[in-house]
Amino acid sequence: MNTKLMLRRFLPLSAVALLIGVLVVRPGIGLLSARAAGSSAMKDSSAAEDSTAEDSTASRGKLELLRVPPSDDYYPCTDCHEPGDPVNRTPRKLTEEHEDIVLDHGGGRLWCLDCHSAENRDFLHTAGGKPIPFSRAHELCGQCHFRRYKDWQNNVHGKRIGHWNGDKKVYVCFKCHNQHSPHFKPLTPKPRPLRPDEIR
Amino acid sequence: MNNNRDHTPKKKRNDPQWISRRDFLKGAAVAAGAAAVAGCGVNDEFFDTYFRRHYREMSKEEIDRMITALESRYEREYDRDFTIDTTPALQGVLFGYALDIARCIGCRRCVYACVDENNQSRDPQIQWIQVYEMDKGKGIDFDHATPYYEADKVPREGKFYMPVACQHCENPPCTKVCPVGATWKEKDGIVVIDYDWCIGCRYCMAACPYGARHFNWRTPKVPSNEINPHTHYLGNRPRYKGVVEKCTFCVQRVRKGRYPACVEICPVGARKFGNLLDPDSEVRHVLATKRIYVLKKELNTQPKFFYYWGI
Amino acid sequence: MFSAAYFKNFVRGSLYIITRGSGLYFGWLTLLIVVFAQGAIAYAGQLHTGLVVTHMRDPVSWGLYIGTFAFLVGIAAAAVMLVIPAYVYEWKPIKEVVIFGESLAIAALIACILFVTVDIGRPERVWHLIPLVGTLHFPSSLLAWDMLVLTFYWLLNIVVVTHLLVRQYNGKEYLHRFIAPLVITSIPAAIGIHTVTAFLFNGLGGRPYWNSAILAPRFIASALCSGPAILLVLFQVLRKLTSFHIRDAAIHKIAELMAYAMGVNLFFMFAELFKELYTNSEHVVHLEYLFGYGQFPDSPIRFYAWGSTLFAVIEFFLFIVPKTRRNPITMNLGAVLIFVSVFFEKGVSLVVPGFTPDVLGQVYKYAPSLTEFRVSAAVLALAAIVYTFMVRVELAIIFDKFTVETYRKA
Repeated sequence: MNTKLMLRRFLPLSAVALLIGVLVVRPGIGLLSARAAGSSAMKDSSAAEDSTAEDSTASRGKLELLRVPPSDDYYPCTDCHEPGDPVNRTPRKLTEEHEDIVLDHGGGRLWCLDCHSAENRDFLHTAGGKPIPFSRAHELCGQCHFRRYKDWQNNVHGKRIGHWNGDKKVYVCFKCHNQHSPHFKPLTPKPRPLRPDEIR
Repeated sequence: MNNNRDHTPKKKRNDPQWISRRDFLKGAAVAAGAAAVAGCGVNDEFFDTYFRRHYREMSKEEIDRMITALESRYEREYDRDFTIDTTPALQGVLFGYALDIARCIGCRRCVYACVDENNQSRDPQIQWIQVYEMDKGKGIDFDHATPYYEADKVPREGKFYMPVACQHCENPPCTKVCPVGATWKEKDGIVVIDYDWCIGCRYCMAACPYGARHFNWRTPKVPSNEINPHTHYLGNRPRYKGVVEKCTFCVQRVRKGRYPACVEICPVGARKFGNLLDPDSEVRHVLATKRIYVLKKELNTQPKFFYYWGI
Repeated sequence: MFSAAYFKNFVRGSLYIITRGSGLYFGWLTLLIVVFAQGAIAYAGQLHTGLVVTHMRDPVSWGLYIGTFAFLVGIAAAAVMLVIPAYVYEWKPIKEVVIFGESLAIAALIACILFVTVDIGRPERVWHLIPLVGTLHFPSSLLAWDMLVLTFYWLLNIVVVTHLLVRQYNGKEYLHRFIAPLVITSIPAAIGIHTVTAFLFNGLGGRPYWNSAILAPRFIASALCSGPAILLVLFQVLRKLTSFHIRDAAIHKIAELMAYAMGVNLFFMFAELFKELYTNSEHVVHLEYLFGYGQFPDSPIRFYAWGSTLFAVIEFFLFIVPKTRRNPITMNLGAVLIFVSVFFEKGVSLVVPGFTPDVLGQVYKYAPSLTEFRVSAAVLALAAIVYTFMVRVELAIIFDKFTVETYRKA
């Protein structure tokens, strides 16, 4: 084997191979590490965010309840039901008034005065007799549905709109669940997607 | 061996004024090329959007120039004022998503809210979210599921519903296979696509185990009166024919602190979104207190999309 | 080693050769040009409207283009595999056999790159794939690997073929010390390109039909048993029409080696089928779609799958039995059968069942559109034109002793 001839032939070839390796593999790895570290442009702008980083990432913020009655006298029950009026505590189906309200809550185990305070109809009441204003009716729901209530308080039950890291608006229970007939009403679904062979 | 490599006669070669045939042809080619480039209407906008580097390597000035060019192009096309945001990932944030499949009723309002917010093509139809209807008896079984269910009312008796979109995996198979690095995972965990870098090879679509990626088989059409002009470069700006797109966790919204569109539209509040690194977030509460399910866990893609049962 | 003058002579001589020929030659070229032209028009339509003119959709996002690409990588790899037996069996006309195989690889690789180009959605952004200029995502993406190894292998073959022809044309012997290492390198390179192409499909966890360890070995085995088929037929044609000479024994040896490769291929196929059918997991649904039973009795690809398997088995027996191997009718029948069989296997049976049913259980029955057929035909026609030119030049220079002297006298 003529070593000089070999060198003349293969040195350029190996130099080319080395060059390709350095030029191709290094940028590829460079791209990978850029992916890990982030590009300089991105670094600069996110550095500016540092000062507000803590606030911007935490999930705090105000929770605004929507559809709460605007005032405690929004439902003027005591206009008809004056405190002190005699009360018929027999569970029954109402026929003279409020017959439009269908009570389908609790499978027949509940009736009106289980939630509405007999003494003062402007209030609801817990099982222990504590009065609850209509503006905090969700506390009454939470009395029985305590797991849901805890989830709702932790933003895990029910719809939220707003900011994941700031102020949120949430509906109170009876926006979605009618308090007398809480079973969720089925909705009409939006149109189905097109099948692939229907895409032209 | 032929010594006379250059066939120009000796006396002409030594004359400084003389232009060889070779030089003349070279010069003519360059001139023709320049004339062609100048003549075919190639302008600054083209250079700022076509002849550029990878997004993650561009300087702020280059990005700004490109954004300006894109904004004016979109404004011409849709006759609306476009803003293309380039907000980077917030520090200390890793986005996670939780979906309560005990509550989802399959109404598909999330699908269409997403379409509206993210400027998905109406014709041909592209929908980033697909809602699968399954039998309660069979459980989560995609071999016996269908996204094409039609009904007067949902939920249908004996069925439950599972919406599927990009899972924003921590170990995404799609970003591994892209041959040009047009898709990558951002620092806040969102897997994004640069629509101006994607070559449309669809390898990422073959790699995704969740069918989350969609291709623009035609030029996407969004009516001008329905277009959402508040966009992010890596998110909901209008796409092109021949590139891949997918759910971006509404990057244009979430980097400004807002919820994604699907979270806000869900009528039963089945969708939860937040920062996985914040122990007080909704998503972390779900992970701590509910039974969680992750699609195709055995593939080790580590999705940041968690299905759970709220009841 | 490389002389500009020799190369210029060679170019002039080659142009001289390919612009002259019989009516058959020009008829063949005209046919290829017509096929290419109609496909170019179809591709222009595809560019204008978008890939919607194919029948690929989101669930089946790769189709005829990528399937044929995989098949042609196999052809490119296998053509060079003849080099091994040429050395092992110490055939006299080694360089003659090698050169036809390597030029087939060159033409096949041109078609491969073109198939990828017609398949992608933004072909004007192909430069993103070029290292340094673009951002080739190497080593993470197997497509990036494929671009590099295919280009390397292609250039390797071009260098070898050009060197052989240029030297011979100018009346010199080829430099053995230069060529031999390159030819030896082309053997692992050939295995390499097809392994990388197999890994392209193999590494996807979400596609259980492809995610089998035996996929790469199956690729190599089916490439080895089908690639030489083209050369088998070509050698016989050239032997009849030109001054090309090759002994019958050499042709029979090629056929015999193909038979052994097919034996291995059938064994691998059997191993794959056993694993799927015995385990009988949910993944067997892809085989149901492939062969048209179970949930998919009317699968549109079942004829391709059964045809492919049947042809492979028939070819195996035709080639393994010496009598039928030597009979020119049965041998050529076998060559055609194996070519069609592996084309169905890689072009259809590989790609389509991988996507059907899709990752979330949905079924979209893909069949190529007219545009896909037209564009594929155009790419194949272009590769055929390139190969025709190369074969004519090789015939003239190596077998008709066409040299620069002969050219100067003409």
